[in-house]
Amino acid sequence: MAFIEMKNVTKTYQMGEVEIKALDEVGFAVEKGEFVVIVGPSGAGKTTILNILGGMDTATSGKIYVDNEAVSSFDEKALTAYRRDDVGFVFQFYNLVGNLTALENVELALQISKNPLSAKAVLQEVGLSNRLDSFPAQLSGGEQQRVSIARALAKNPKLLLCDEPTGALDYITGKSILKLLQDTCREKGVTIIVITHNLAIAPMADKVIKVKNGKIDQILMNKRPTPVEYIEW
Amino acid sequence: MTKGLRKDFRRSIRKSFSRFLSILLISALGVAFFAGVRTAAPAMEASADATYDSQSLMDIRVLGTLGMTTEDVAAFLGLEGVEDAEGIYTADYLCETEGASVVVKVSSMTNRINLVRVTEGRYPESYDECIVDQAFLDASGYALGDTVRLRTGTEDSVSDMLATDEYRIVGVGESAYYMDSDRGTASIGDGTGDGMMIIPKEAFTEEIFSEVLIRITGADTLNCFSDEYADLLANVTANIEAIEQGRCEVRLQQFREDADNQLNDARYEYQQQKDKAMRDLSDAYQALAASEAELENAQLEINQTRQQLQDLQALFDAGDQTIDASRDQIAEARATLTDLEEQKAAIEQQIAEDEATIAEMEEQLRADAPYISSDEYYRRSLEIIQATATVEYYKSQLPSVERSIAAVEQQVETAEAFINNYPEAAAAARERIAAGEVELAEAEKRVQDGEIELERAKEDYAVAEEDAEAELAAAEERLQNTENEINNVETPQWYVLDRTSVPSYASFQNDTESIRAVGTVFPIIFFLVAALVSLTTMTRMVEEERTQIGTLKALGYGKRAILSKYIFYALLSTLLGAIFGAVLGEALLPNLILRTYRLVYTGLSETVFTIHIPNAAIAAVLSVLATVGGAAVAGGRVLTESPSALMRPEAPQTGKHIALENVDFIWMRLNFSQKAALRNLFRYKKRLFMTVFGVASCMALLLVGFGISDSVERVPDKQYGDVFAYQGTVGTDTSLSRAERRQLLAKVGSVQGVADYLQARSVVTYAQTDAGEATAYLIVPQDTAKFSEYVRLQTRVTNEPFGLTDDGVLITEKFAKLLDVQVGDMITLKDDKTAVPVGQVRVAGIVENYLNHYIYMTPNVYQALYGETATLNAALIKTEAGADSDAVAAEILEIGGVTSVTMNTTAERQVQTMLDNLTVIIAVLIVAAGLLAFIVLYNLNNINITERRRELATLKVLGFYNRELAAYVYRENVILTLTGTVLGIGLGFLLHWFVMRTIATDIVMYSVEIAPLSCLWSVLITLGFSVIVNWLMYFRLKKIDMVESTKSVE
Repeated sequence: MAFIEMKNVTKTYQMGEVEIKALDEVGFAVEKGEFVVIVGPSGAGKTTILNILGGMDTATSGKIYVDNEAVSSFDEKALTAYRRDDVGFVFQFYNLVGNLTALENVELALQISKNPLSAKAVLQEVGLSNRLDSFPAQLSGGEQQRVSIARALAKNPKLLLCDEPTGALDYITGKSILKLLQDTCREKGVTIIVITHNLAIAPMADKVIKVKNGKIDQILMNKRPTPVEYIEW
Repeated sequence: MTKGLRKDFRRSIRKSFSRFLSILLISALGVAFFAGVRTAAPAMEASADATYDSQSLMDIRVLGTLGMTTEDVAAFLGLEGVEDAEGIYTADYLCETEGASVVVKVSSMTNRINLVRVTEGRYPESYDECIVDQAFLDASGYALGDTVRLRTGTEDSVSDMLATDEYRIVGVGESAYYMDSDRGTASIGDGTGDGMMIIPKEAFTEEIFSEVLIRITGADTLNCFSDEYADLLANVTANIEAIEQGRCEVRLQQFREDADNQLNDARYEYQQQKDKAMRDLSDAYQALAASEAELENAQLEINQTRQQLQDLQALFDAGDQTIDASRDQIAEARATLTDLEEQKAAIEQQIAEDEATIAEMEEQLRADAPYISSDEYYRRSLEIIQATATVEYYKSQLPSVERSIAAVEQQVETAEAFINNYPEAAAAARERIAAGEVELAEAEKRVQDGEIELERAKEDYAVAEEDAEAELAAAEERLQNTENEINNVETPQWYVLDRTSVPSYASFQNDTESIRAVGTVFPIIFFLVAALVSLTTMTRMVEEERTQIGTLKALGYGKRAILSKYIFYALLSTLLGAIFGAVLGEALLPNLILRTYRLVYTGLSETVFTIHIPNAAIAAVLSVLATVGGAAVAGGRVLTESPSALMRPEAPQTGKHIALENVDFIWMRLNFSQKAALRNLFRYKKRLFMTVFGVASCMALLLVGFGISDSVERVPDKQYGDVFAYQGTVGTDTSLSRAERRQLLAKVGSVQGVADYLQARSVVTYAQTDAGEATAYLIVPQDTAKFSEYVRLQTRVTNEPFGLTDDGVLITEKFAKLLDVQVGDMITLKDDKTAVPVGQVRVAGIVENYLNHYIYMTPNVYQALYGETATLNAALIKTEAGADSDAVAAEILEIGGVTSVTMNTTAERQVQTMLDNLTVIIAVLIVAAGLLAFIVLYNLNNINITERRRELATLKVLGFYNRELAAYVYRENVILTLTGTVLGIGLGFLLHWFVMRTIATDIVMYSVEIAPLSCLWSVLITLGFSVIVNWLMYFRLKKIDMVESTKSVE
């Protein structure tokens, strides 16, 4: 069995009398240590996949397995434990706690983690060793996203989920963040799933899952992923 | 506003209806509380006034020291400003019931003033019918239709004033005069009235009215608590006082005449009684003498009988000897008899021989006659004659001998009979002697008894004589006293009293003032908090819609057009809320408060609700200003930014290091969550301030609520428990002589339960300084040293004890404050009757005291000041622990010469009842505090969670359990709540001090204190409210959607 398996996952929302299918029989597998990019236009269902995979939302039907555990059958409490121990989350808008310094934002995640890494070490790894005591508002967008990544990584998760990590960043900063993610995947063997609407990023992934109208449109495998440095958009 | 904006406005109300509603409700609450509580006091006054007017309660009552006459009534009716005047009789009686006696305030039925509302039954129609109030029925256990019997409780008789002492209850009624359970004081029983009884005027046999009730022209249209009323009252009072002197002189004249007539009658009666007593005594004396003589005769008789018996006995003792002698006598007599018979025989033989001789001689002679010479014949005839004479002599001797024989025979016979009868006679005689002796013994016993009785009778007589003499002497003295009194009677005085003398009036006014005091401060706080919360909500709304504002601005809308939405939103919600709140508050709160007070003031038959527009208007305007102002300021601030800046998410507020982080030794010790919590606190300063303020207000309200109760409740306790160590005051008749007084006090001292007493002079007096004039009780204890056992004389704060010395007077604290004097200052005292200044005296000390004012003075100081020794007119008494003070009071009142008994427990109870009414205020404050805590905490928590939804959602994504998330938020709340609580304690103490100053009356000094237990309760309730709100918030936290975290910043 693959590290992550989604089988026939359907998610429907009841909007008044109308039923909206956000996901329709979605199924794919991700191997451990893979760098996966889920790509698709707005409203295709990328975020819903990420939310369900991250234990923030539940599927209406279908099965989700992560590291041989049936996440789809978790109750709320088990899902919370799953989120705190197994998943790292990187948000488009970083979602740092404004009132905490970079270091403290990382510590915020660590204090509930079972098996954490050193906050300072992780921040050093993401290149922020000189900004430890800065508040988010004093950091640039890229720096904030680095803190966000450090916060996710410091938990030592099995799975790193990134929701449009470069969406709010300029080109150069975005690129450096993607590089950080790719390096992390390569060097630490963390399974990373990035969702984006930017198809240009796709070549850097081991696997590209294209989503369209709540369905898997196409799954491509890159035998030799392109390093971020060579990608232009 | 364009059509689009209007549509947006309507939709934004519909979309954010909960916010619209919350502003509406908060302003409604603030206004309701503000307007409602402030309207409560006027409503209470209006209701009381309406109740008074509905029963035509008097405005003034005039009491005269010698009563009031119909001429007085007529004089009043002629005065300007007097609409009506009516005389009534009043008296206090006891009414015996099972197990207790009830003190009933009896007054005559009136026609026009002080009307009684009959709630059940009918008005009395006959002189022996009455109406009573429910309090009487409750106290006595009687029911409609029963007949009650009155007793004076003193030496006087009911018939002195009333036509009958039995009255049938034909109706149950209410009088505005007795609105609550207080029936005033009484001169009998335990000193307090228990119930009211109204009987027809005809039931009173008196001619002199007890008092005259007066209604003032035009007073019923005025609120009797208002200044206008007070002015009117002052005018009419002045008019009445103007005729006092004249009327009183007339009354004195009349009184003297009546009294002289009565005295003469009394004298006549006394004389008759005296004569009768004397007659009775003399009769008794004669009876005594007669019985003494009788006894003497009896004794004499006894003595005679005894002599006879003794003689008899002697006879018997001689009896046996007599028998022997009789036997000898018989023998002797028989011998004598034999001799006598022999003698007789010899005489008879001699006679026969002599007669034979004579016959022979005669024969011889006759035979010889012729033969013998004449001489011889003659000689022989002579011999015969001589012989015959001898025979004759013998014959004559015979009867005597025969008689002797017969006598001796008789003697023998008698003696024999005596000997034969003796045994029988002796037995009979012995019996008689025995019986005689028994009789004698009895007779002697009788005499002895008689003597004892006589002795007793003599003693009785002596006592009766003494008593009669004493009684007569006393009666004579009384007559003399009465005469002196009549001669000494001073010109009577009037007491012109207004409605403050109505028992319920003062306490009702007091309660109204308390509510007013509550209405001055609290609604403001409450209102302030409500306004702040609305303001925060409005500010929040503007900030939430900054993107939209930016868009509108980019589209070219003017500032005014954009701002108008928020201003109208605030205006509409607040105004609607204010109107709603004003109507609700003014209708509901006074109603609620009045309803609660009606539990106490059961006689409050009318309830008037005044809509007080100014209060509502003030509240509404202030609310609107706060919210609209808030919206305008927040909107104005947002509008100064450029559209592009507005359309970008607001740059997150920079996190800041807080000062505490520099204090390493504290900061290092805090764990991560604590640090985060602390930093968050200082980040959301507005929320910090609001929460702390809200919690502090809640805490302060609670503290004040409990504190009022503490301070006020402790007054009777402190006064009668700590300051006064004695339990009652006995008023004594000043006309008593020294000896009578001593006797009276000995009686008081021997009453069961009385431990000790101290004689004193106690009068109400006037004292004056430059700062003003005030009345106080002047107490002059006879024994200065002992006085400190009766009253604790010390300063309040430092507990520095004072002795009562000739150095000056001790005055009580509040009194000193009123007169504005310090230790060492001089005060001017006035005569208690004439109010003429008598002199100045030095204040030697200011002592702790809570109720009323007192001046304590030694007899020497009194003498020096007044120029006369202090006439003792009272005794302070101490009772034994556990003694029933009512029973003690009742027993002391029965003692002649005691004019009044005031037990401190009674006073304490009265004060206590009055103070219990404060519960209403406390309830209002606690409810207010609770509402406040809810509004503030709920709203702020809500805002907090809404504002930080993203942050909280992120934490959820990071894997925080709900309880960890809650802890993260609650940690801040806990700190804020605790801070608020601590600040609230300070604020509460301050407010409490302020409120106590506001509600303080002249005669009461509240001890401004809040009990530790009250603090504890306030803290617990505050924390409790906080816990409840936070618990409710937990559900909101649980509902936070993690998907929010992935959305962009709005």
